[in-house]
Amino acid sequence: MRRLSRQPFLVAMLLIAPALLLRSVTAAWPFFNNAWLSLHRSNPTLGPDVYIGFDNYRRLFRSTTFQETTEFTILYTVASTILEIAIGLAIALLLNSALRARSIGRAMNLIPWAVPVVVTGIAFRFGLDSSFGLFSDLFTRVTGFQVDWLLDRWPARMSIIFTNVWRNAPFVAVILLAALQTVPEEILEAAKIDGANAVKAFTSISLPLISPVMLSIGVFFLIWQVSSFDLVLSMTGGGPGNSTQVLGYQAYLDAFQSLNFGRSAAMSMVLLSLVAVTGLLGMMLLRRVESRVN
Amino acid sequence: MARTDKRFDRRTLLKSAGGTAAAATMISLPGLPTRAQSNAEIVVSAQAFSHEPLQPFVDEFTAQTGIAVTFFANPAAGGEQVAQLTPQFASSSTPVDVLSSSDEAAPLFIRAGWMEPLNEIVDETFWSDFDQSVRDYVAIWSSINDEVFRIPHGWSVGFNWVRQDLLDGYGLTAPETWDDIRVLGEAAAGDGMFAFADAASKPSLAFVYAAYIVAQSGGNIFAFDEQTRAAFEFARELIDSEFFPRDAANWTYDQLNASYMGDQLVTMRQWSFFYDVARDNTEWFAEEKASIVLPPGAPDGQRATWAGAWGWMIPKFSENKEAALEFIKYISAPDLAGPLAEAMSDYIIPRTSVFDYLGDEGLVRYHKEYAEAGVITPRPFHPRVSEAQAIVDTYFNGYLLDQYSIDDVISNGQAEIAALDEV
Repeated sequence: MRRLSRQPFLVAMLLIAPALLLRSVTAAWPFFNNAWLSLHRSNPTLGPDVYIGFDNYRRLFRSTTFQETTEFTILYTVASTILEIAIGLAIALLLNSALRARSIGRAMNLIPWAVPVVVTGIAFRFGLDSSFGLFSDLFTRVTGFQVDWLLDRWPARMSIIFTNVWRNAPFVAVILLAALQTVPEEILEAAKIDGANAVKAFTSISLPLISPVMLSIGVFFLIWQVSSFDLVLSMTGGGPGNSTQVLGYQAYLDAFQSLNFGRSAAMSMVLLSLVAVTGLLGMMLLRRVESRVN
Repeated sequence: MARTDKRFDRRTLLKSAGGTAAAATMISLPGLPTRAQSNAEIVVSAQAFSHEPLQPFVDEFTAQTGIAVTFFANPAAGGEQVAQLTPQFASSSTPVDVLSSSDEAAPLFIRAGWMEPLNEIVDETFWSDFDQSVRDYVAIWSSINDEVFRIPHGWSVGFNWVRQDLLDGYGLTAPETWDDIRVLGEAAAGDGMFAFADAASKPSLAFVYAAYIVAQSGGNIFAFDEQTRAAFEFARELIDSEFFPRDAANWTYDQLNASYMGDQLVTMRQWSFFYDVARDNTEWFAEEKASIVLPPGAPDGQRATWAGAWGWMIPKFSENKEAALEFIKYISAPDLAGPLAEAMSDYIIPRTSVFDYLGDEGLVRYHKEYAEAGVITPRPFHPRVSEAQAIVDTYFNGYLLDQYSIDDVISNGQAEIAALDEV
């Protein structure tokens, strides 16, 4: 023991070894195995795996379906995240104000987030149906326009993004509400005495102070949403055509409907690289914002 | 009674908590796909709704053989069965000994070498009980190199449902050709109704509808040939003429049923389960509102629909193959086919034994009518069925909703089907 205590590096390694081993088994091995699989024709219906180098990737990048799917995956993720933060912030400000029904409002706010995603998807699928959908009918009565929400490319894309925002914005609001409540009251009071109105106080004091939280939640939501597909599955199945198809769903279909493990692994690697780039950029931005705030 | 002086100390608390956690874990395990139990007990995977009607037959089997049966729930959709069982089959084990398998899953499982051949329990006498349409189907969908891997027990036919009451009002008969659907469309438009509909959403349902009309045009859907083009163009024409609801391109079967029972459709293609759905809606139902007639046909084609099946299989990783074989032999026997079909409409299948047992009553009358008219074509087959169906699904659904031109659909479809042979 005495000898060990003289070698702090060894002790540190011994202490983190269990965690390291666990992560190796649950994260590193699947990652390397997936990367290796993506270089193979791996489909049990076609016989043993065959090494084919980067053919799976070459075929993916040549495929118009893959390009369309990647395009919508990025649009869905980025647009959803921006809107969730913007609307979540608006809700958080509302719930942070001195409203009489604030407690009830805070409790009710989380209801959309508590509903299972697939239930939400099916409910909106029915609600947006052009013939007997409640939301479609309401929209037509209010605006006078008839829109086939789930049947045309852009309305379908907007519908999925809107539904996703409707579900997730309340959760973002709760996080941002917690952040808003950490802003010291005395600073806001001092600003008021100095003549700052509510907008000025928010933009000059509250917003900079909560921006690291906003950025963190933004990065997390980008990462979570880039691979999610439950809403797409239950609302449009990726249609019309391939207009609302996302990479995560396509990878799932390739692996678990078609047994094309090689192509699914290649698609997962592309998805992983999207997540990695997003995460890296987000972390860099977060550090910059945090250093500015501090 | 002597009072014990045992203290409930921290160690006892930890031991109790540990024991409870372990017990809870063990109790929860049967819900997970674990390795099938050995000895005279088999795990049978079947759709959840069939467990209760099957139970009396299973009890009889247990009484006769001493082999206990536990049910395992199949997912409702065929494709999801691939997701449910692939991880375990791929790791050379199985949670079930007998599997009721769908068309989407069976060819993949068979070609992956995960299933056991069943030739020893089926011979020519056994097959002579089945209609030729089922035997043709088995040869394509359930066999490789004369080895049979799946014994069909359920026969899903795409029936042509018509509102006889409305047709009588229009002075028309049920459409026999595509032209008749056009005529009906003109007549029904005045009432704000659609002549015909099918659910055509992704995933899977668009393929079902596409295969139905391509069967009528006589095409090969996976070849994206000229007859396929004609069928797709006809489907699009129906939407553009407002004889077929455009929304149906994103409908589920629930929405199709709701629209039909909401008096918006004069005819529809729907599976046999609508027979019970319609009758359960007692406020709406009347015999003439849910009549079944033979399907229409294309001008140069034939009156046709297609059928798919669910059937019994044995995973080759089962540790109870003998008992599993006994079960399939018992449950597929001709003398049980009739009573099973009587207990569950999903088990109605064109077999002499079923037709003899059930006579002309109920849904079996229409199965018999379709079989005798020869309008049932085998489900379109491709060795990589899920991927091929997904290609049709995407392009047909996209074409119906104006995402692709017909030329793009045909050329891209052909190219993507051809690409399946590359990898």
